[in-house]
Amino acid sequence: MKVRTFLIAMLVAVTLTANGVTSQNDGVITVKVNKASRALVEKWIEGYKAVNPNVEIAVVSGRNADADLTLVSSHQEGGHVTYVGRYALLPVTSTGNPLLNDIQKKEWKSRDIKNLFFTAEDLDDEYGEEEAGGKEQGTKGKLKDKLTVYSGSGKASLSGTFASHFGRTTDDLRGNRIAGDDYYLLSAISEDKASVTFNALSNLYDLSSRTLRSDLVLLPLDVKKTQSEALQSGNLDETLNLIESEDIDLIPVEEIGFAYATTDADIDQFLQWVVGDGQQYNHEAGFLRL
Amino acid sequence: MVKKRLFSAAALAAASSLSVWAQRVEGTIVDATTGESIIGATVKYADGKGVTTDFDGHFAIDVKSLPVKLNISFTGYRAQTVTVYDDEEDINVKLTEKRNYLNDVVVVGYGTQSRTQLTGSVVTVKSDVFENSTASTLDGALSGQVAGLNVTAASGQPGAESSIRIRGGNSVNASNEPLYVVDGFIYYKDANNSGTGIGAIESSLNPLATINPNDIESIEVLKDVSATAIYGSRGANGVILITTKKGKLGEKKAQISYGYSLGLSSVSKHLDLLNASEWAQFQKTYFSNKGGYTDEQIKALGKGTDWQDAVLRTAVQQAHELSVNGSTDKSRYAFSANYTDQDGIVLNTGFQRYNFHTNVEWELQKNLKFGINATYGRSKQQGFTTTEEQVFNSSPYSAGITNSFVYALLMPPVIPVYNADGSYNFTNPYEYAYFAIGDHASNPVYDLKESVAENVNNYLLSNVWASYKLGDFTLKATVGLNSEKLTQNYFSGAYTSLGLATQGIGGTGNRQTDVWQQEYTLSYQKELGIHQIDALAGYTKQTSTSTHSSIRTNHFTNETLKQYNLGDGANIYTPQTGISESTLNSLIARVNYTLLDRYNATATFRADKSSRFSKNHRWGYFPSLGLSWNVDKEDFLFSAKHLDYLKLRLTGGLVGNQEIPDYAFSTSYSTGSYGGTSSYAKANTANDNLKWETTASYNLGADLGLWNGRLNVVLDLYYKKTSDLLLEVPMGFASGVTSQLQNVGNVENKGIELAVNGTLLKRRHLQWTASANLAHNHNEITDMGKTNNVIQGADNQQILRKGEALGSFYGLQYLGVVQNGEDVTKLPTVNGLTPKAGDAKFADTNNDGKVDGNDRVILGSVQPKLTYGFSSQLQVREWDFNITFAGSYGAKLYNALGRRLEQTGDSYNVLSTVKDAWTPTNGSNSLPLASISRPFSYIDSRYVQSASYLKLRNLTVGYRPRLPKSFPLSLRIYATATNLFTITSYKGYDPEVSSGTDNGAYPSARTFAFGVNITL
Repeated sequence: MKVRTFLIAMLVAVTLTANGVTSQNDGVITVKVNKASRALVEKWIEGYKAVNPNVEIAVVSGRNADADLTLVSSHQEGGHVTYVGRYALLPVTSTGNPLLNDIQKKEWKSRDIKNLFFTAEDLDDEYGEEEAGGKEQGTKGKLKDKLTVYSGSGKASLSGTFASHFGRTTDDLRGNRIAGDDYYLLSAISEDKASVTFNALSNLYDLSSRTLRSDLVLLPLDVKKTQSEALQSGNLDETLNLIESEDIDLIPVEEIGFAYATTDADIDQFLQWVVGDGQQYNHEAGFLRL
Repeated sequence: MVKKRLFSAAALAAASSLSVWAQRVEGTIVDATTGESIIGATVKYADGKGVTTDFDGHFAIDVKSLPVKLNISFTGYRAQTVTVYDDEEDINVKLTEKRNYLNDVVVVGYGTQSRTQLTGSVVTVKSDVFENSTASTLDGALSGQVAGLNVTAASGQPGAESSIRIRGGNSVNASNEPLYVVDGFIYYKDANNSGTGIGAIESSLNPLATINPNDIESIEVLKDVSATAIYGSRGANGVILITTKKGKLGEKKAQISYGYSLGLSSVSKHLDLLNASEWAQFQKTYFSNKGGYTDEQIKALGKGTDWQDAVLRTAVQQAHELSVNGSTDKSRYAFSANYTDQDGIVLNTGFQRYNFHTNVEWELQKNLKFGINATYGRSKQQGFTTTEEQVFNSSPYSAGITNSFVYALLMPPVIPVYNADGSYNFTNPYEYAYFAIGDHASNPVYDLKESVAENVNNYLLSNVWASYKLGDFTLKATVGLNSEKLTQNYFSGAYTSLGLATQGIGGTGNRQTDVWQQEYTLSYQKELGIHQIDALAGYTKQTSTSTHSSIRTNHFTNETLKQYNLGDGANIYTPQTGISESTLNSLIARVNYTLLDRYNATATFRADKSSRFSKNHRWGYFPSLGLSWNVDKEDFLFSAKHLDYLKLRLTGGLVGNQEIPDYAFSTSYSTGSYGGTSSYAKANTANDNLKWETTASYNLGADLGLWNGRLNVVLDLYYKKTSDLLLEVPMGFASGVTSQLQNVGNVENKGIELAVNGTLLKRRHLQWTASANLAHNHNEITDMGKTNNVIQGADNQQILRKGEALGSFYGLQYLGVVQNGEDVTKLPTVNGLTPKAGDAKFADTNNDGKVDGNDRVILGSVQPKLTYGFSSQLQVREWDFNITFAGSYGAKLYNALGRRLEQTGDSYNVLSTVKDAWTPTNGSNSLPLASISRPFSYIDSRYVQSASYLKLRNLTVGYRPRLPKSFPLSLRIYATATNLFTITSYKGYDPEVSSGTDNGAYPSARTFAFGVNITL
């Protein structure tokens, strides 16, 4: 990973050097973020200002906000992007879900997740389930019918990452959509109890207590026992270490980066710092390092 | 910095407090697949309030606070709920279409309609059918795809036309071909103005050759009266609506595709003819042994010349396709270019075409659209020269020698194609009847290679349109021109069969046809709660002008430039020129009404005024009414879990037919020359009562869908009665003409059609679909007025008779051969003589003790009892497989070629079946003792053969390699086989001959092709 970080840092350095050092802002670097990554960016700003006290960096938001840097997921189209971290998505429901027992009884395989979250692409499976009655497959079918899936609809939503990880598109996601930050998906499932969604670790976990939010339950995934124990422990750091150290097919992991049109010397230095020293803050904010 | 943040926080708080009072939520609703805006989608929010999306799919609502739940719905799409929590981004909702057959939008006359609201019988054929076919014209790919649509190729000649019948034929002398409408605009092809008057050319160019199959997005086949009545006078034979590919709105990136295919064709069946030693032995046994062969010499002759092989070849075909489709914010465009070069399997025949097509549409202002459709191209077809139909005894045609290909089959196998020095052999001592002068005889290989029989067509199909939307009303005006210039070139040199008698003959002819069309329509669409209304009214006018000229000369001294040096011909035939004009003015009206999304009604009316009928009968009025009921939407079927849809349809109405020659109601004279001066001959005698042929049509249908699109079934029952049949009625001598077109009699068609398609497997990497269709039609002439029993055909092989089907064959019933020892006194006499052993036996059906013309009976008809098709598509990961079968059962075909090739004599070769002819030692019943003469000129049942068949039309295997995402193109390579096999008992080349008489039709080919499609 260090080698990778180094290479990315070098790439950033070369790119930024080529862009020249003429300042293009009025002395304030503006950064546009969503709710899930706001804490991370604020950590970086704080850490960077500690070593560069003369630089001003401001977080902006709102549909019309213009910014020098915009934090984007790698599945989103953009111009120049410097990757600065990674995020993981986990399927989740609320503790008040009346079907919680049924959900927790299972170990969710890739096929089960696809079946639950996406429209049927396989008619044979769909009818197989319905016709199987009370068998295990039949239970899955019934559960699917009773649960509402919530997903995001905006460009900034991570639904695209979740869908493409399972070989589908956002158009294939079942259930209801929300407009707004993915953070609100958790509000949606707390209001509509019999529902499921997925979200980034930074939204799922309380960054202060380092534990899963008390109103949420992760869907138990069909993974190795040690992996399952780490995930079900509800501990953010154990979860981050696990996902960083092992590839788990069932967990979508994607990069985030700063998108920009042009840069100047201040921005170049900030980006170089983020992909280097700034990585120490990623875990703290619920993100994976590069 | 701290100050700035504090300010930002304060501003945010202020904004938030404002939002408590009013929050504007804006967004756009689009189709998830196409990206096109959905106009009129409903967005409902708190307390049942709602708005609909505008022309751009946009909506805006004011709410008190966020979050707010929006319920978004649109007919045919899955409803979606979106909860809005913040306004950081524009809301962009993608609605996914419900994959339900009834939710398809189908093209209908002068508009489109949701299938759920349709009352008529309309079948859609999608573009993949044409993409999987290597047929150069669309009719070749349609065969077997639609229940009740019967495609019969005229011949295997590349670029040749087909006969298309939708629910049987209605008419005798007027056209039975359906009407074609391309992109909403009538593609009018007047069957009566097709040639240039030059004659002597075997094949005619397929009118559909002007449309490149790969330009087609979909085809809608309108079968019943509710769907076709809007075309009134031209809807009786069904309507085929062709929609060409368009750029997709929202698809900003241009899609560029290139395709290339290369194929090899060879004859799909060889006829088994006698070889040289068999033929020489036959001559020695039964005839005079002109060659004077001894038994040793006969044995040494071996196979000799296989003339069939000598005129056939393995033909190469290739096609290039280039298309560019795309859109901008305010326009969409499509452009394509196509080049096809198809050699025929018979020497010096083939088809070439280049074709350019464009389709552009602009949104000039918010409600104003403007578009242009244009196709320009040139097609060239090289066919056979023909001996022309002349019904008199000395004509080669009447002797069954219709063209040089047939003549090749008749050539004695002891005659070589070439002399020892490599030059053509023009010596044939066995030819003395038709194609020899002195010791100079014609050579069919030379004939085919050196003769010219070309149809060259330059065409422009174009129209411009503009539409303006004014509230619920849309005004549309379309003006277009179909302009075609057909040139026919003909040349047969002095050494060819046709030029032998005249020392060369050649000619050239031109026909210029311009069809101007204007259409002005006003449509109205409104949804009022549970009521949906869609109304249309309009006026259309069509003006056709067709001029032709042709000239022929003969007796050439220099043939080098062939038809380009006709002045070299010493004798000039009377030049032929002419003009034909017609107009058709029409008023159209249609109202579609839907109640509760369940009950649909369509009322249509068209009034046509045609210049083709006499003054008092020019107006024809064609009303229709269609009703349909979406039964699945009723409460009592609400819990039917596996039922997707169930619809019942009932329609009835009148349509007409005006496809007769211009001026058929008036007296006319044809020109000629007689004794060096001009002469006139009466060609037609006036009929002041000539009027529309009218078809009353009724249809009862059902559409059923089960298991979420797994199974779709369409069932239709129909009855059609055509009255005031346009019929050429024989006239008395006093009239000065042999026949006159009159409105006489009725024809009925009734039948049942079933189409089933199913999804057998639908997995991510494995999809398997299959579809099948079956149709039965009963055709019967129910009234012939006073003119019953009209015998037709060069061999008098067909009859029009009350109680029988159109195209019924009429001849003697063959019973076998008189055997040795048979009691011949009990047999009916033949030409006054008692038959002897070895003679053919025929049924004495009227039991008068003799066999003659009065014993002829109906021997079947060209009407099939059943037509059917089956196709299946399998997709396994990157591989795709497609198979299409088409079949027909119960039709008969007159095998005139077989009859010719079993006619024994001392000049021509024969089929090897004659080896089993009766001899004193071989008590065969298949053929009588070989003889140079026939007892009757009438046809008999041996040669009216079953035309039932099952054909493997198409088998395609394709592969799309999985390329890296960064790769800028997608690729598909494929191999396809056409006409791989035919199961049939028919004894000729191919049971598909549209005329019903196989007098040596161009044989059909089996083709293997490979191709590649690249999309950028």
